[in-house]
Amino acid sequence: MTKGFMMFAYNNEQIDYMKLATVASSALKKYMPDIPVVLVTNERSIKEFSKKQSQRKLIEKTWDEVIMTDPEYETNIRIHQDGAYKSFNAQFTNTNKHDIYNLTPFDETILIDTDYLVGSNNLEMLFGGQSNVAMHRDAMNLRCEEPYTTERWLHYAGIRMWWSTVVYWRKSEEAEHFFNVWAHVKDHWEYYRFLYKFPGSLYRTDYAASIASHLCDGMQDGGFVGRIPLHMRYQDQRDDIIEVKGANDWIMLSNLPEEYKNIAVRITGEDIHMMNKLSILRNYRSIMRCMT
Amino acid sequence: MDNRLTDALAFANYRLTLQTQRKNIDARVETMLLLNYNNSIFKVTQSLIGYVSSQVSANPKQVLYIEDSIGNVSSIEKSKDFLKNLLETYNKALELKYNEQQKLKKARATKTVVGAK
Repeated sequence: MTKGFMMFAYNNEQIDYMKLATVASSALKKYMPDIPVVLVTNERSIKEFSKKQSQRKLIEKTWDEVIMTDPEYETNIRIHQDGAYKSFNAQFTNTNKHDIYNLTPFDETILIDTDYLVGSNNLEMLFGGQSNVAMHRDAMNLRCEEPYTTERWLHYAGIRMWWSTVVYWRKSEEAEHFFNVWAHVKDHWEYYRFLYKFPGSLYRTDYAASIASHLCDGMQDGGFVGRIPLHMRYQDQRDDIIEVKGANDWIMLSNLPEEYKNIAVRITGEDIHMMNKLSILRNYRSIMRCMT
Repeated sequence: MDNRLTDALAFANYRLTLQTQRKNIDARVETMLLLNYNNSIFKVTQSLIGYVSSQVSANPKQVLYIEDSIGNVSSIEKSKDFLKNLLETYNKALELKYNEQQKLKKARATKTVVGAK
């Protein structure tokens, strides 16, 4: 059985996803050096990233294979926050995430988002496991608190949410059904948005994967998708990095709407979903120094 | 603002940071308590160690049937080796927790709690 990691990176005007992917892949190489990492991107992103010679060299070093595919442009504007005081809009290209089933060269694949930085080899445990598809069900912020209800349920009387930040699957009939249904949900987003009653019009892969899981499971929550053990640790978009102490050692600022509750937090030895992408890019050099 | 109030609020921030850091140590230890064995992921607990240990003492060659972290049952033929792995994982995680807690005990300021420059 072949196994490996994969990630998507499509640059937009505001966010350099190639740089984010470089950091995420370097972390994978540091903690699980024997497992190959494949990047899925497009010509434009590679071109932008390759402008500097030093970055051109990084491509070979960071990824074992680069797959080029350009999804059809579909407007999908997402509001991002960069810490507590700044927000901006950016195109979010995620409409072909479900295509990964056909793109992967591996029998067992873990797809991670480019803002998911591993700080341990825990994900390796998923390979060869008992589930054909696995994702995170539970998440925990920097303060060890659960996310808001809208990040746990699609609707207060609806279904639980699965995080598509990390998706494990083994090539199998079940996984094929899952990704096919995911594609169907994406193609009929307006209908499913109405049916599952979640707010907003942004195409969220967390929601699409959650609906696909629910449909594949016979419209129940019966264990079709395996739970990745424990929680997914995340840094909120309101939070920021204060200091990079090491490749898996961070001092962060955890911000709340009530400023007097803001605190510094040290996270060590854990995998972490850094939702404030610009905080990674601001600290790109110091993070990369720690990765090598 | 009155200095007494400023100091009290700074102390409150220190207490919040300290408590969050304690929880963060627990969260890290939780991840370290995961053991990948026999293509299954187990959460190592004292009760699991106790159960496996008693089975190994009673009949070391007996196949064990143990529930993994998501409720699937795994059959374990090398129970002694499994016990050894459980103990190693548990000790390593708890040693880290002990060391981190010792560091926290000495931290009397917000900066030192998180080890900032």
